Amino acid sequence: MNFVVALKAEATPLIQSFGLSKENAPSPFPVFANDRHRIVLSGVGKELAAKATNFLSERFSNPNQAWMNFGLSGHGALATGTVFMANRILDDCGDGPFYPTQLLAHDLESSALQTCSSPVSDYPDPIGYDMEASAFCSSASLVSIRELIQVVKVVSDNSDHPAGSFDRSSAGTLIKGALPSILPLVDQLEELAQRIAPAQRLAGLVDSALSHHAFSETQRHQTRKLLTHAHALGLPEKDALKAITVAKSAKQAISELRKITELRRTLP
Amino acid sequence: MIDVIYHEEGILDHPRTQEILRRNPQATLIPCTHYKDVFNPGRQSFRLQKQKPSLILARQSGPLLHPVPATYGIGGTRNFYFSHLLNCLYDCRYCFLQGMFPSAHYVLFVNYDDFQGEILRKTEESADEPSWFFSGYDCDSLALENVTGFANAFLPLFAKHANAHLELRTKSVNLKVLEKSDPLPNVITAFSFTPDKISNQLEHKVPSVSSRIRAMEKIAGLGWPVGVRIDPLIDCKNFEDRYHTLFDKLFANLPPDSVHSVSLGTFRVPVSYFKKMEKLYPEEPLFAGKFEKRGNFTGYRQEVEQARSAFCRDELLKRIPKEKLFQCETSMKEPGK
Repeated sequence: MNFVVALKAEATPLIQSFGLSKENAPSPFPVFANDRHRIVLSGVGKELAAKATNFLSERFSNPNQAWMNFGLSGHGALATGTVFMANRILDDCGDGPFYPTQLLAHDLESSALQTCSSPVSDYPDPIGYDMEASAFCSSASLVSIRELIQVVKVVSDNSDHPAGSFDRSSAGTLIKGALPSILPLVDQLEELAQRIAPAQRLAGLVDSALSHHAFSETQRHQTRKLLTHAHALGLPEKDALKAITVAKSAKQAISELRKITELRRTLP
Repeated sequence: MIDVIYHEEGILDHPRTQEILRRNPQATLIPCTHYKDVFNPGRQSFRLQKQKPSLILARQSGPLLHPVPATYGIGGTRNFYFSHLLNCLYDCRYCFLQGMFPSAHYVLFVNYDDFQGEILRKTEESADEPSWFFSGYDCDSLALENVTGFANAFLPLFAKHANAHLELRTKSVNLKVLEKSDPLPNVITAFSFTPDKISNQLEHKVPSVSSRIRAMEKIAGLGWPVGVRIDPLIDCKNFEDRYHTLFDKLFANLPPDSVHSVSLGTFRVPVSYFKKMEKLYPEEPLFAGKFEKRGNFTGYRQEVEQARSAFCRDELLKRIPKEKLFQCETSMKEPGK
């Protein structure tokens, strides 16, 4: 799962919680990662958020991964320290709203969030105000589905405690306090991503089958489809692989696979 | 329970919107300019959304009634369908909606008055000939009645206009709205069925076949005309035994006079829908069946389709008169039509 966070102070509690290590390879954005989680520090603003999201998506290019933009924001109605899920992300430059699909179970506040091009000093509406989310959503939605793209913010400033008076050293404390609310969301997002991920066993079977002959691109497509059907129909993997391996050519392999699959093509 | 309700900004004050919000005080409300802003964007997962669909309240400002293909009717010649609701409470693996819509959220068009005005206008266009209105094309007509109040709002119109006929198409067993009303001869409640074992495999969240049969018998007993829809026909092992048993169960206790019509529909969906359905559920054995592309549609191979349809037609004709049996050649519109 991928996280886009503007500042190190906002990311540190997550980095520590996941036990992430800083990647050493030269990179335009600092990345902290382990085998399951990755955090990129984008810096402040829409342009950097978009670039960092694109960078991370290219660096780890599996489709339909879970993405979260996480950090501090202002809010026109909520108290400081409140954690909220963004349900509608607006952009002050007029790009259309982004609606992250609301599938996760939680008892957090749910709020609209407006992404601004410059810091806000007032909070005219009862919504959140940040500087990255809309750009993050635009970029993440190019590489993942909306159900897996979420924005979670912790309120750091409001009209009673304006941004100008915010003590930056308290960022870590605010985020740390929010972690117990955020970690269950992370688990749920990962579970959703897993649910639509291609079956690992099938992927392994396809790779193994395609390594046996010199398949053309069309034949690779046919083989993949036949193996998907064979898998769905409950054909034992060893039978499918045997059909491929005993064949003398790619064409014959497809023909054999088609024959043994055909016998099962009726719903039980 | 509905946790999230989107609403077009322009319909927040509509009485139906207010009534729905009153009955769902726990729901998070999210405004939108147009329902398509939420419903239409690309890169949504119908499969994941189906776990917990949200409700979108909107106004239908486009066409309200649509002509129905001639081969879809049940005896009438003036046939129209309308969609007050997009998407369905149930999750049938063969359902074309999952191939047609980008989102699994329910879209409810709250401007029932506009639909009713158009129904009335069409009905009055032809005083000599009945007009038929099909309501379960893009949804189940009754499954979300507790939320939509659809039948409750539309039955009075059909009570007043005998020349207007309504088909309610459903798999629901919650038929209180019919039970509490006087039966109307021009309102047909049509129940769709597949055999038990197929239903258990493919019709997720749907009441059991036997409970639906009981519900159908109950309203038939109250005087409501009912329809039986064997649609879509699903090729399966022991096909003949399973469908034979289903037909026996369906007609065992149903008063013959209560049966308005029986229709047989083959499984055919536009090629692009089928591809999307396969992609959503690659592990689903249904989609690995004996299918072929014919023109713009994917359906069972012709020999399979013909044999299965012929068997069912013959079996049904042992139980009902010929004039009550209808074959729906294509129950699907092509994309963009």
